[in-house]
Amino acid sequence: MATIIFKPTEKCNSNCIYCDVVTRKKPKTMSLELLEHIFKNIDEFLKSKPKERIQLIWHGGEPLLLGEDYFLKAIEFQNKFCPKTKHRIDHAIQSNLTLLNERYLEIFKSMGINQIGTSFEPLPNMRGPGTKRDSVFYNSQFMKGINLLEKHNFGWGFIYVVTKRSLERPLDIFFYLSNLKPTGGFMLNPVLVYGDDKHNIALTQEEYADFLGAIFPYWWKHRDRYPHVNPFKMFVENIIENKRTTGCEDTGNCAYGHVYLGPNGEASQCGRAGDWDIISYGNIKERSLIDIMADKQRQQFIDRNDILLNGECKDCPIWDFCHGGCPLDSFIKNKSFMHRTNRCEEKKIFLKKYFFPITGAKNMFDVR
Amino acid sequence: MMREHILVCPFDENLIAKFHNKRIVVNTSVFEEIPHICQFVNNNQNHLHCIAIKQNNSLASTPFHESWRGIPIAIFADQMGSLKEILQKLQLIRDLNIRIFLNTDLKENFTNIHILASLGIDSGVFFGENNIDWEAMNDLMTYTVYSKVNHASIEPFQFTVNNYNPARTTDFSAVYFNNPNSYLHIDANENIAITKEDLINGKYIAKGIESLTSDIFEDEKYKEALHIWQEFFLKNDGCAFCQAWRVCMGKFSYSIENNPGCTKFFVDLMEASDHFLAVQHKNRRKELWQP
Repeated sequence: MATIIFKPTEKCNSNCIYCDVVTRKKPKTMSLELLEHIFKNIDEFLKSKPKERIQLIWHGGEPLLLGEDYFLKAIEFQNKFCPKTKHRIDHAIQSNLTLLNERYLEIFKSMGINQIGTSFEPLPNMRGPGTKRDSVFYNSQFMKGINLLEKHNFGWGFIYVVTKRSLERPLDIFFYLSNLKPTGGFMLNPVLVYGDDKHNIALTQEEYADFLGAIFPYWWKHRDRYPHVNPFKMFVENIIENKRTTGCEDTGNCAYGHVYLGPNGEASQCGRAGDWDIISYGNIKERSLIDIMADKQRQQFIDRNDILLNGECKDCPIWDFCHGGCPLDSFIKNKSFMHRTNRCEEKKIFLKKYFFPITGAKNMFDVR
Repeated sequence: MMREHILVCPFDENLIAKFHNKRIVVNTSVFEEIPHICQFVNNNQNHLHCIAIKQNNSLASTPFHESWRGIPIAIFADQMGSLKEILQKLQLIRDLNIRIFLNTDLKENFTNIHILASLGIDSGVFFGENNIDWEAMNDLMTYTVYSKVNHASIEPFQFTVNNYNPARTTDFSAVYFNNPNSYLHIDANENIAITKEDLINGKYIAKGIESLTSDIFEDEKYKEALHIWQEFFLKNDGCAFCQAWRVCMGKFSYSIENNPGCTKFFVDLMEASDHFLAVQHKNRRKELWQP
């Protein structure tokens, strides 16, 4: 399935400490003319690939700032311009939920959306509107959002961004997050800082590994209580259960599957690449989606697998579920995609120091 | 179909006569009224869920009676009184559809409940006004869940282990008819509240039995009350960061500063619940096909 990370707006009603899109860019919103053009392109792409599907992930900024009518227009354009391909278009959405209302949920249902991805932060003044980041207001709106979701039987999962400020209270934070959503369904991701760490939130790889390591013994002992907490679940599946489940950064096959479309029609590899202006596939106003999806620059992500497997990642026991990690991480450090992630060690430290000793699983680093 | 709440109300014939096809918990402190309450509620096309009766004297002075057979009764007593007197009525008490709660304010009640359960009387604690002795609670809980000798159930531990799902919250408030997902409280003036405490404190969500339709589920005050637990998370209260939240849900936040043993107790209750679940799983019998 092809995935479009679709950012029709960069505007956001929150000023999260770990996001610089709003401050670094002059947030723009996609015109309805361009939205119409994109659905025409989607139709053309799907007609050219009769067995393909497209997942359109509405992203931002905060996509709910677009207003309900914007989404209704999208449905109208989809019906009008994709009459024979619309059944191969899947919608998904990432939102901070603070602007959610009943009307939005009705619209999302009609788009086939039944779950929403979000993010949350228990520590004060990390997320929220304004320079002071009013997290009390933000969180109360967020709670109203999840209450609405649950009332309408929408699923939801969230990301927690681990920062330097999280390091003092790993288990407390874990309990808070899992109390908020007892079944789990959240990911503990390290903060990604590109450029200056002006808020002093960046983590070393060891710090992130130790953050996970402070939680992991408890999680492992009580994993029946918290079945859907990542990256723990993912490590268990890949190492102990021999299943292959990874996030996009570790699949090693994002090359031809992903595209970012921004508010001016600018195309890039993915959301991060678009946010950070790292790679450009031109603009959908000037190139078709078919051409963007087939851009020659994408080949480097395929080639990267061979280069790494015969080079930096040669004989690495976790290659099968890492694939050298996200090419953008490599770019941050080397200004080239052809290296492994600059966060390679955090996985290895976590696995060696915590995962293998605690689970008793065969240490993959010993056997090779 | 929308579920209906069980109504908790005083024994007021005018009030109950207005109910139709409701499940009712009747609060009273008059033991002599028990058979009449049962008859009155059921004669009015309602269903008696339980009679909750406050015993202001000792449990031993309760006039247990043959006419109570089959009637669901919960007795809340501050003290047990003479064990000898209870033993004299033991067979009758065992035969009744009754659960006896003793107050945590009295330290010896933990032992008394232990004795009652060992005699085959379903029992439980109810929470008084003083600091709870969490160690004594823990001992009683341990006896309930781990003891290999036969004994009757002890609440709220039995409810918790029976309803425990490791990946969900388990709220034992229902043991005390105080869970707004299942119970609503109504007084003789038809004021409606989501908990006993709210009713006493005049914090109503509606007035008039005509409000008791499925619309109550959409009522903003009702929905707000159901989500009151989120206050802990908005205030960054200690309970939101507690590993035992999923079986406690902040019920004892008021006392945690001067009596912090609750975390240890509820963590142990979760462990016991895990154990109970594992034993049940192990003992699950093969289900053979049936002709």
